[in-house]
Amino acid sequence: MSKTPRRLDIGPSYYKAEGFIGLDILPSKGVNVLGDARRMPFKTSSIDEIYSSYCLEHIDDQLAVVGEIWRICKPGARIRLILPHFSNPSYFDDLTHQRLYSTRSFEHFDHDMHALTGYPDYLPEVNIKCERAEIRWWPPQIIARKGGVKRGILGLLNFVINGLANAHPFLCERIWCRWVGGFYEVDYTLRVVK
Amino acid sequence: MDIERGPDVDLVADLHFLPFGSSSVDEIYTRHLLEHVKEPLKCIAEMYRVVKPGGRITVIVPHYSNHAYWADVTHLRPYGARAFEYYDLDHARRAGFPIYLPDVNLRTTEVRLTYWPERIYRHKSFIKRSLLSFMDSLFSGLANLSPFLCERFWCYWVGGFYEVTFVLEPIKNETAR
Repeated sequence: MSKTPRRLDIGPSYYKAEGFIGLDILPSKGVNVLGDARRMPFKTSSIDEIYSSYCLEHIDDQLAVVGEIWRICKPGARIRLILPHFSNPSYFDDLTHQRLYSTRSFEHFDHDMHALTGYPDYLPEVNIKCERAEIRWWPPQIIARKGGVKRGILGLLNFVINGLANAHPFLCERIWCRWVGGFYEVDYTLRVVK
Repeated sequence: MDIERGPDVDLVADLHFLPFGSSSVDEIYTRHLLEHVKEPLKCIAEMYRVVKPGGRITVIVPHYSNHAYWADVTHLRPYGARAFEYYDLDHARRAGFPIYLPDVNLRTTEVRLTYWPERIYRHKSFIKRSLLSFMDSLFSGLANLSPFLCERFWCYWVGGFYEVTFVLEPIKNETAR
């Protein structure tokens, strides 16, 4: 009895990920379900995978969204989030933005980290592991839209800067991320533990 | 005192409504809390209310250039070195600031920027500890010569400062002004 996996894209607007259900608070082309990510219209442990690109930074109550994501996900479900890095140069151009992120923004929801770091436990029932948090100087899809020479130069710079940054994300965020004009985004892979 | 129970918590209460009489507390110390509160003005007014004239309020909060500020999604605001000048009535009037809290008068007796707090690198290896301690002394030292210059020009050149410490003294009618 094999069921097709239920995969959810939160806040897709026009750019819904292929094969995903699109949940958004505003109607648009990629949206299948109108709803609020702080009270998601899905049953507990009903979703196999979540993808969300540039959405969570628009939501005021972060704990409500993280709690809801954990609730609707099946144990072991994979969550991929792409969010603006705190050094993002164009963050302030969108007046609806509520917050910025670092590579460690989701460590507060990992039970093992609480014991290690003494972080306060904001959502005691929620347990989410951060498997990967990569920072990106310039999103490749934006570079791809540029003309030949620009594309070449930016592509090369992106390769070098991202390589250095992700070799030691802490050093980059602590010391030098602003020396290169800031990084656009953080790309996370999280895993739900139940 | 904390908003939820914990091993070091003697009293569970909300900083927006402190369960203490006016001018009943000698000293308040609060570290990395004011960046979590919904209404900082209300909390500042409450702290002012309960502390005795001549008492002391120490507030430690993340500086706006702190990279780790963004690692906690419950953070609501970082602080600049001049954040408490608005609650010093004389200063606010001189500077032409709006008087947000007309019943509050807090004199800032000390403002200190910290590049890397000792408690964060205390447990590291000897070499790391020495290096970080040297960087901390150097950059914090330079910054505190002029916090304004540091914030205006160079705080991001060295990767930002972890925190600002404010030492405040409540000025009340009972004391001669």
